[in-house]
Amino acid sequence: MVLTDQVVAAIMDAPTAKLELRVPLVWSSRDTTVRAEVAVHNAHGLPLRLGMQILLDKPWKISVYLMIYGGQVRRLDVNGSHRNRTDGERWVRRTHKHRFSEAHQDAEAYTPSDIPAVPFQNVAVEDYRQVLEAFCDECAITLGGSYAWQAPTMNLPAAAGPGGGGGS
Amino acid sequence: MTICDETVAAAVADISEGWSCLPVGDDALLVTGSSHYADGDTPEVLVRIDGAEVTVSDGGETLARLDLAGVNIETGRARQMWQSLIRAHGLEFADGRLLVHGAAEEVGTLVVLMTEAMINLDGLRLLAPAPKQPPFAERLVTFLQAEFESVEERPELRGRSGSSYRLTAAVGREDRPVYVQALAGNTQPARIRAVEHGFTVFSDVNGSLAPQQKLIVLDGTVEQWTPGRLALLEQVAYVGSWNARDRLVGFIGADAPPGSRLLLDDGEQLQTAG
Repeated sequence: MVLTDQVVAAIMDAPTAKLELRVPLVWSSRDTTVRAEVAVHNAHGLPLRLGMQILLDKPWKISVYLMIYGGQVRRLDVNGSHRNRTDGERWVRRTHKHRFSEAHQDAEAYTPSDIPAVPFQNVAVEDYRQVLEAFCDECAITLGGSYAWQAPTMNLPAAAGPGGGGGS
Repeated sequence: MTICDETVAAAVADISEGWSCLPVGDDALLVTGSSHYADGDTPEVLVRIDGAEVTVSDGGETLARLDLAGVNIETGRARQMWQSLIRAHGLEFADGRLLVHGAAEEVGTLVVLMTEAMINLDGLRLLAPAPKQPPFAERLVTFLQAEFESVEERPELRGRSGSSYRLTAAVGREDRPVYVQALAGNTQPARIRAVEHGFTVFSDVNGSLAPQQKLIVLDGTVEQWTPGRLALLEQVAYVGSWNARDRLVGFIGADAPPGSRLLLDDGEQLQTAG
């Protein structure tokens, strides 16, 4: 089962796909990351999942993604760096969003609208909520059912250096 | 100026344009490289200079990217290749982070070494297992997880016979979950066997569960299933279908069970009696 343009089109067609986040995020943590992944309601019954990942050493760098069949339909990289091979556009520590296509896989990005800025210092839990909900808004994922923002369970450093541990 | 000089100068100019640095926190630098992963993203490393010593770290980025790609570096070929590449690049791996230490004057070399290693290691994503069409039970569980906060996968029930059964899921209120059994089959004999299994399970656990706690979900539409056999299922459980998913959600979330045990869509017709 592979991700195709047809599947992406079906998912991103808001009126028919009726994407909705109906359950709260459930966070899990590993050595250097915290991540939440939840299933997303959709009218097609596709096994679609939404995820959010935060690197503890780089808490300003946040990824939010919509995923199916092992591929990312969309992936938002907050404060990430990227260069498009298609048009040469470059992002240096700047928010960009990957969109899947069969032609370019996940290598093509664009600058999304309405994603709030996240500071490189003193990232607040509220920043994560705003990013997640802005991503949902941009992907036409409504928030309903028993969805309620669930904050990640992590100790947020002001900024972390090599080897972890973080600053203050 | 020779053509070689011009080519090298152009390459150096392109590389130097990509490098960037930002102080983060009291003692760290965030350095962005000029090379890229296959998806066009750029490795970013954290640098801490402590007197004459420098430590460069990937901040856990490499492992996080592989994890997202579905690669588990703790087993099999991915583990072997991960360890080989770490040795080849002279890196340390500790608590999920790639690290390299050296003298402060080596900082440039160490940063380049780390970014190159991150890109090479990221190539392990090609070892990710090819995604397959998930079996019906898995699709059903994902569907239920999108609808309900509490979904227990493969709950165990014990029947009056003493046999224990692993069902597909237990969903809904934790004090009174609905036990769900997925039934699927690509051929008529396979569907018959699936029905027999569903009937056996919910017959055996009869009495310990209220009827509204037992739900069988058929793959596809009910019309694909033999009516006479569905009548058997209807005696021991509520019966819904994948094509009428909204009815499943309504049933599981309802305070009172519906009158009919067949949870059909308006367009679905089935005569199970007579």
